[in-house]
Amino acid sequence: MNTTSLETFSLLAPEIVLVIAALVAYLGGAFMGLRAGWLVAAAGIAASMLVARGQAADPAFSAGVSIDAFSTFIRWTVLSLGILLCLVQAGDLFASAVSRGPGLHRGGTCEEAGTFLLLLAGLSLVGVAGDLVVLFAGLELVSIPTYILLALKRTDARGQEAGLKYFFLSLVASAIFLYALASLYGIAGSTDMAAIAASLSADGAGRIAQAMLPLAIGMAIVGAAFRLAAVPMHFYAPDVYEGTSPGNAALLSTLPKVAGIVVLARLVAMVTPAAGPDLLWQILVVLAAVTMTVGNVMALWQSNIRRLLACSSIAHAGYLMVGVAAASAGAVSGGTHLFAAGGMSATLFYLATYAIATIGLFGAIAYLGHRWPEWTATSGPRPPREEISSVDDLDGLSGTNPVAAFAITVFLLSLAGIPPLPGFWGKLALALSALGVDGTAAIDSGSRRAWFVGVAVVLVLNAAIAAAYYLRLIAAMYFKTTKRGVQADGGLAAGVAMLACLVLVATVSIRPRGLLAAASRAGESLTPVTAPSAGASQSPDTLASR
Amino acid sequence: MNDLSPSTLLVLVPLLPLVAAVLTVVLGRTLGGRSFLPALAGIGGAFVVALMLLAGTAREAGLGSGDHDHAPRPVEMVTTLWQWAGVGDAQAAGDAGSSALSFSIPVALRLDPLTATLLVIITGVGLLVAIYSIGYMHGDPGEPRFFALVAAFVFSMSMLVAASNFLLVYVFWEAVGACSYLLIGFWFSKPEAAKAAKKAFLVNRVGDFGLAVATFLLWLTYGTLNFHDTSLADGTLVPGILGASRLADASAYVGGAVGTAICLLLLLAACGKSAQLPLHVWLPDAMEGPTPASSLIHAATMVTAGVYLVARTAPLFVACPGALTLVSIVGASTALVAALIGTVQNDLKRVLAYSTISQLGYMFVSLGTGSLLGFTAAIFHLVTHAFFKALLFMGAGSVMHAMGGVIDMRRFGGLRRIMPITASTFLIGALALAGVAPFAGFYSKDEILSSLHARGWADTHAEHHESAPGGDRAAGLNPFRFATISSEAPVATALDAINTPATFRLLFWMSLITAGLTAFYTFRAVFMTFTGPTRVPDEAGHHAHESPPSMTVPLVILAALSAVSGWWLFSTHSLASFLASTPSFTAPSVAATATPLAFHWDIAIQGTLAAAIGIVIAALGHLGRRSDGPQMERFLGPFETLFARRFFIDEIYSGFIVKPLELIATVAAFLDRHLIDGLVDGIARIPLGCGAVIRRAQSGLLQRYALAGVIGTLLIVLALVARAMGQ
Amino acid sequence: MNGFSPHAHLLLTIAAPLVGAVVAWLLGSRGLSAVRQSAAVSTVVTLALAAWLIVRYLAEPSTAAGLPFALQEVPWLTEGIFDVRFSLGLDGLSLWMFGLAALLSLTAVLVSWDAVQDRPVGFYVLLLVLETAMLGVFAARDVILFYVFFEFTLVPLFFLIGIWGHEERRKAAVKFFIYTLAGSVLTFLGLLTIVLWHAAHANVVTFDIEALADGMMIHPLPMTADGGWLQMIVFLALLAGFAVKVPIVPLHTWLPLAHVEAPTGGSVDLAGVLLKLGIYGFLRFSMPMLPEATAMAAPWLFALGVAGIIYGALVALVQTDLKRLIAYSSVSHMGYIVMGLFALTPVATEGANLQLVNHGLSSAGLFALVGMIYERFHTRNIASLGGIAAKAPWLAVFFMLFTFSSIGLPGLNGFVGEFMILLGSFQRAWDGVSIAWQSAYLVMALLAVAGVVLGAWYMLWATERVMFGGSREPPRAGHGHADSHAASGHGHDHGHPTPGDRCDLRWHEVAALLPLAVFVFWIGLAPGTFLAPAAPAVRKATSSSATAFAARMHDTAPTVARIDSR
Repeated sequence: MNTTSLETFSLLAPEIVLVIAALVAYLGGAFMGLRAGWLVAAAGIAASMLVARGQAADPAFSAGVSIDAFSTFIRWTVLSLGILLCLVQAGDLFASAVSRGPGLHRGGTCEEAGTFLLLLAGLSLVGVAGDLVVLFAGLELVSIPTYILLALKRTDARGQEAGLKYFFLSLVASAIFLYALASLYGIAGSTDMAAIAASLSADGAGRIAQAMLPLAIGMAIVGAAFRLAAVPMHFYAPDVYEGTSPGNAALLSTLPKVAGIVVLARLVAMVTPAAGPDLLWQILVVLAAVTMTVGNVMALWQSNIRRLLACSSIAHAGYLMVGVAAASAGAVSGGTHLFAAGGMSATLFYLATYAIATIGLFGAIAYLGHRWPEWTATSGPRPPREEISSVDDLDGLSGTNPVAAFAITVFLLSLAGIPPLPGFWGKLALALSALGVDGTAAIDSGSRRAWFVGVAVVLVLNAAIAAAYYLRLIAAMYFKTTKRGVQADGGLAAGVAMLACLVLVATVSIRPRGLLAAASRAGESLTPVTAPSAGASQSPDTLASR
Repeated sequence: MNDLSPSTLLVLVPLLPLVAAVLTVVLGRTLGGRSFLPALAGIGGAFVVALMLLAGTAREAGLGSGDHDHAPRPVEMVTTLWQWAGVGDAQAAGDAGSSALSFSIPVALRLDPLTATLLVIITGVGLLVAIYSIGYMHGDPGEPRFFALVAAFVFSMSMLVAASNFLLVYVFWEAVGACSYLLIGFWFSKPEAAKAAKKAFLVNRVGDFGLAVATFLLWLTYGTLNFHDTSLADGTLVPGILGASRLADASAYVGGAVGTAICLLLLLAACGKSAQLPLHVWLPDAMEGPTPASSLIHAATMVTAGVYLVARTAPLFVACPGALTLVSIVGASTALVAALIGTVQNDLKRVLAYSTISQLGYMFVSLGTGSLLGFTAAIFHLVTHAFFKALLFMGAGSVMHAMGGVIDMRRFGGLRRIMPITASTFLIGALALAGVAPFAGFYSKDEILSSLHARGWADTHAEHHESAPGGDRAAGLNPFRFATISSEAPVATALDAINTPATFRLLFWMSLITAGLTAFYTFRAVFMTFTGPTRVPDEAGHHAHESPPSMTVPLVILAALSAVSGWWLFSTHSLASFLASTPSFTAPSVAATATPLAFHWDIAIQGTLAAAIGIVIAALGHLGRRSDGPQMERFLGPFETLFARRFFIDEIYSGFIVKPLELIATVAAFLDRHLIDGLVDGIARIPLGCGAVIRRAQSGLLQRYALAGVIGTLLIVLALVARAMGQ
Repeated sequence: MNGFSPHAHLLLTIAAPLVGAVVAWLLGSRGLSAVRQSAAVSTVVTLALAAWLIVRYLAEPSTAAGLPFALQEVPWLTEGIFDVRFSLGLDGLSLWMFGLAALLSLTAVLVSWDAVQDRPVGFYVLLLVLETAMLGVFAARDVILFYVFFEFTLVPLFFLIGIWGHEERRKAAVKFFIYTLAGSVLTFLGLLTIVLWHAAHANVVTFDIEALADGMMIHPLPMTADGGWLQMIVFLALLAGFAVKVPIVPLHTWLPLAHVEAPTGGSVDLAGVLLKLGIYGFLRFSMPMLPEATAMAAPWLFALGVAGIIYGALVALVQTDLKRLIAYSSVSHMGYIVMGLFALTPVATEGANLQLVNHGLSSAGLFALVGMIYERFHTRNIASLGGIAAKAPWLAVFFMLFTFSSIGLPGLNGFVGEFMILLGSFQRAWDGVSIAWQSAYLVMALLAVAGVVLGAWYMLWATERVMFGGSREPPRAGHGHADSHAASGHGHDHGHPTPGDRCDLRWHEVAALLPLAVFVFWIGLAPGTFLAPAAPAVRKATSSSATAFAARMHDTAPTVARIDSR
């Protein structure tokens, strides 16, 4: 609190650069006829990265902003995903946009690019927020550009419906989350997260706190659940994904999830010590198990690719929560176990692997764009090409576009958790963290160990269920033949994004260590904030490696 | 040739045919019409070597010194080729209670009087069959295959009788079965041949089941599978199951439940290979194979493997009197049943097939007496039977050859004019089979009847030594843990109870009746085929004639042997006293039953009388008549159906074993597809079903989504509150 | 050449197929023959490397004492709680399976020579990738690395079945994948639990299989009510994956479907190598690491093995599709191996370990032959086939040989393993302490021996119908055969045999079968050569389970060091 606002500005420099870039895009688009919006966005993100690189590595704290390994990880994740999403968005050319004529969509509009940059700035702000107000501001800075993007990108009825649905439900979630924040403030008398944590861990947590805390936690979880597309706020995802463009779907399935994880992580860091061992982790375990199951079983029925991937993204939200739950259990157990502290690291790692595969997948779909309907010269004029939307549209892709088919297959197998792809390493980390909770105790019914072993079992079985619909896509591409050619008329940028993700997937497969190390540092930096004693005696560092 | 050691010679016996078989396969195309050469040379060489071995063993056994009063001493020579497999210390880990069981299987060959005798028979008959086949198989496109298989068979059979280890016995037990399978199915394009081959293999497999389990039990009981004693690297002696050190110990063999079980399982194996009840059904069908193969495998050699096995394991059987008696009962029943079926067969080869089954039954009867006389008589009969049955089969083959493949006796007759050599040699064989003095069969059959008589009327003979079953805690045995049930096993006790003179009296009479029946069906076949007006089926064309010399020369040789071998071997007692030096027969329990060899006039007269009655009835029914008349049907009445349908045994198997199993299999296959796989698919449908329910919530209506979200929030909060209150 | 270190040799052997895959891919534009030739060359090179490696293994004195060979270790994911290493090596358990995988890969390439005309590049690339995965899984010495290879084998096979399979290939591919995946993810959790337990008690994080096995001897998972039967739970988790893979009845129904629909090359690899992974897993993980749970479960698994023998044989008996029949015979024969493994006597376990190789040879040979029959007559329906021996005598000879091997004819390989398994099982019955115990085991062992008769029944029935008898004319697929992937030999002079034609084996088919036949005889005649190198490792892997079993049997509960979880 003693820092000057100038220092705060310097800490937030990357975000400020993003906002400036957004302004450049808006103004340039409106007044200077700047057309290549996504180029501006990419340049802005690159500039932001440069600025972020230049920042000191030491943890720093200033008025509502905390820079530590965790927030740095989030920031870099956001910026990297931003670059990839830029590519996808730039290549996201679809029927309704085409109707608006050429020139407008090539390279994207500057409004879109600027809005996207604001979104990134907000998300990055969420990552560095050390104060509830900053956190909420960041979240809204994520939400509002999202509404705009949804509305901008797709102007047909379905697109509008999707945008509206997202808008209203997001409002509900934000409202609920705001209640949670208010309750926390009411309990602790401060909006500073560290202060709240200190207040809660102090003995003086009074009766009001006892009564209010479950309310606050519950509503905060729901707020996060909307961003994650987790139960009970998952309903919008299939409708919205289906209604919007592949590029927006890529965005929706990744960036809000980052925000949701940050919220959950901060929540865990704040409240677990006070809430006692049984409050947070249990509800997270239940929500995780339900979410992954709901997502997967719904996905089994989907024939629309984007709807299917929406369900899949719900399921992955469930997986992500397993690590958070393990972390919340680990943070409070006083170091009787070795690995649960890795829960947060596992989640962050998994988030990254998930995002790479998902963006690659939507990138590929955006790149593929359209296909020709079945048509022979005798049956009249050639009907217009159709947007790739259903699983059948991918039939025989291995013959018509083998590179895209291969890339999609790799992404799907990674999401399914087939070794040695990134998704496997992610699930390995998650499973280890879950099994590590009380890792040597008996699996008595009702014990914490039983809950976490149970959720680990549900996780891996869900992975097997998920394989069913991922394989359906692969089977369509490889086992079927088609007479309908794929146009591959999406922007080349989306193809580049697909290939970039493929390279990333390969890199993480062969050398998962780099990403995991970063995620580990981030996760560890978060956990001891509120539980300095947890695991101190038996933190993983004390283990002699072989 | 004295520079060749006996062990080298012993290895040569199987090796030469093996090389011949491989050469025939490799050079088959090159040799063309001369593909018989390797087999002929290989088997011929093996025969010469076998004769040398026989001579050597006979010298070793002190034969010809004229000194029969000394108790015979065991003569054996074992040579180990290589270690087949071994499991270091095979005792169950952590099981300190059991002594070390070593699973160590050497490829070891042995030479003793029994082996030497059989080697000579196998290679000798094999050689004659090979010579005969030069003519018989001439021009068949599968000729190289045939000779390769015959050579392979001679190899396997020699190994079977020379193996000095139960596992090796099992190996070649199945190997001869495989050769038999391939030879029965030689003309594989004939569906009947293919079926018969499969049937033979499967029925034999049932017997092999017995041998396999017996082998397991032997290993567990005796701690080794070797026949011979072996010394380990550290100098300790592992007594072989039939090794000298165990044989010297009167109580070294287990009786009781375990011993009886082993013996019954060995008997099951023997029944399979030797076509004894109830596993005899494959042999008649096996006549689908080429006749020389039938002659060699399904008459002279392979089918006697069961006799060999029981003789080889004589000390084991003697320790279990109940099992031993069962051997006799099985043998006598088989002999009688097969003879009865044989009386109504119209297929010449099938008559001979049933006759083979019947004669093998004789050998079993004899083995079951458990006396040295019984064992040697069985082997004696084995030898003479090999001669005359091979002769008869080859004669039948000669007929078949001339008749264009027709073998139904009702379709030809009076062939003595067309094929005099075949007819006369066949007659000699028939006389030997019928047991007419002084042909070979008479003497061996007489000895068998004598051994039975000795058991049935023990008081009139020298007191029969009742061999005591070995104690359960006999020295050197693995302390097996079935002790609790083994001592008082009711089955074993019940079996032991039938080991009475009365049983053997019954068996004696059954055997005598069989002798009469044998004479009857043999001469029925002779009369139908060779006497009466000359008739030739159309298939033979107009050039039915005597077979070429390559076929008739073996006939003549075998006829000579059938004529004189019995008298010669009996009168000199050479075979009996030679065999007595076989280690298995020198076990105290066996050797003690030795009786002075004598000619029993009373039994000889009874046997001859039975044969004479049989021949006379056959003559009355068939001599000089057209052979396709309904004499048998009228004579036997309803029994004719029973006999002709082979006592419905095939139908019983089909109805009670094959069909039910197939039914179970069909049900299992149905359940597999619909229950088990259906269950799997059902489980796989659970997520799908859940999805169907859950996606209904996906109504697309915004207000419902919001409501659901709020309700979810309330539930979460309530749960947390409840949780917080609970603490 | 002596400077060529063993671990580099091992790595090269595993990597060689991948190099071959790249070469085949690059040659893709040059057409079918270039692709398949390059695939054949790379499998031959791999086989030669593997054979040489095995020779070096046998020449190395330390391996006789059971020490692993050609070790190498590269850290892969060593971060915090992870210590995953890329660590490879061979020991007695893996030696022969490693060699078998290399051998059968060559077979798989050769049997696909004419059968695969459609998209050959993809086919051979996948086949070669599969080979690397198969070699890797047996050489892996790290839990995670093992699991990576273990799961990864599914992917190429999924595509092989799904693209180049028969009519119901899509269903079969998906079912195969999901069924085995659903089982093995639980195995995955079980393995992680072992790692965590070991780390907590030994205070050392390791994913090294051998270190874990040693560590679990000192710190066994609790097998008491206090400890929550953790060991049993982990055992069941491992069982879930391994039992599906074997497959143990009643978890076998994916197998016939996968086999029937798979292309011949895929069937060869699946039956020959991949089914063995389950058994290998038992030997590698369950038995050394969870001895008491193994001991407790052994009687039940023994019984399931026997049930599999009888059940598989019975179902095989009424099959109308030749390939399905052989698939069920695999179920039956894997029952023997399961039975032998869980008899837990030295003779039986060593026999079971050898039988892995034996079944690999005979079933691969039979599947290859069924493929060849299908290429010639375009049917696998037993009723429509017949008299092949007259048309293709050498095909018939090989068919009979592998049939005899499969039904355990002495002198051939199948007999050795079967005999040892049954002998060891009788020994287990004999060593029982109570009448009930002995009787139960005795009955099961006798049933297993009876299964030998059933095995001969269905195999010889099929042989009789397919090879012998009059020549039945199967309905010939005309030129309008729609399934271009299944129709074969178009344009080849032997592609469409006319009735009565001789259509005997071609050179590449002989080359595919002959090496298998050589080993069929070699193992049959001198099994000691193959038993001895594996013996120390098998003994080591099973001894603790056998000890625990003996202790259970004698009802003197083993003294488990109670480990307080806190």
